[in-house]
Amino acid sequence: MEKFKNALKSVNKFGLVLILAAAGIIFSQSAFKSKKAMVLWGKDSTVPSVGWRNLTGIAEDNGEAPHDPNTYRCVSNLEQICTAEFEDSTPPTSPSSIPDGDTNQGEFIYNP
Amino acid sequence: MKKETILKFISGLIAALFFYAAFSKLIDYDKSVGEMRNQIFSATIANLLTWLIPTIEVTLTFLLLFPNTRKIALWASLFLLSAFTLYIGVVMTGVFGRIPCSCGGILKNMSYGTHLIFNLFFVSLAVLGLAIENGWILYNRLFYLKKERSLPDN
Repeated sequence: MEKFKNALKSVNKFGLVLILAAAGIIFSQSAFKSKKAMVLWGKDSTVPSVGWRNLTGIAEDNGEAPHDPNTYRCVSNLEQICTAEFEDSTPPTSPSSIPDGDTNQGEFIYNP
Repeated sequence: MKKETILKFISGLIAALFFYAAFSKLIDYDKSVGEMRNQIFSATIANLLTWLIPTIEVTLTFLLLFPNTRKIALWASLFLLSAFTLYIGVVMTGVFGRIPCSCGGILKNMSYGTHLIFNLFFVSLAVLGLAIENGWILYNRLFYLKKERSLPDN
């Protein structure tokens, strides 16, 4: 017990102050952060030249053929990304783009 | 300035950096998962690193604050910071065909070049801390030289 008390007394107080300052920065950043609008994109691996496709106004149709025109399919396959949301005005190809945590995985197929 | 004061300053700065890095990830865990998936790793490794890196950072934060564990924590910090710096350096070469985001709190506003300099600064701090702790540099000699010069000539 005495050893524990001595260890607590020897703690780096300067470090604690810096950590409190860091906690303040984290808190202020999260408290005043505005939630940005997200846009859904599909990763079209079947047409590599297209790459990511903006899915605004394009509905999902995973039903049986024939598929409705201008829809997409997301065939369940955990090996690759099918759709992901990115912040509005930032295309998925931008290095700053970050897909959100709820990335939908599967094989993306566009129905023209 | 006393050796112990400099060591407290260095270890405190590195501890604050790790604390900030860890908790800015944990406070928005979903976003951190996305940020990690944006990196060059496979999904399995990305999922592992999402919780492993903050765990190591929090552990090091505590270890850096106590004199008994400071030395080993400085070694571990040097290793971790060097690994991050090496990763940034490799990513900057474009060898992976794309440059992922430099995510993580205030760091995401930095370019990779600035991020590299930022990391190198903390790597240098860890090296300096270890050098003072292990007596690799002539800290005491410099200190005594200064004292000798201040002595009056007889």
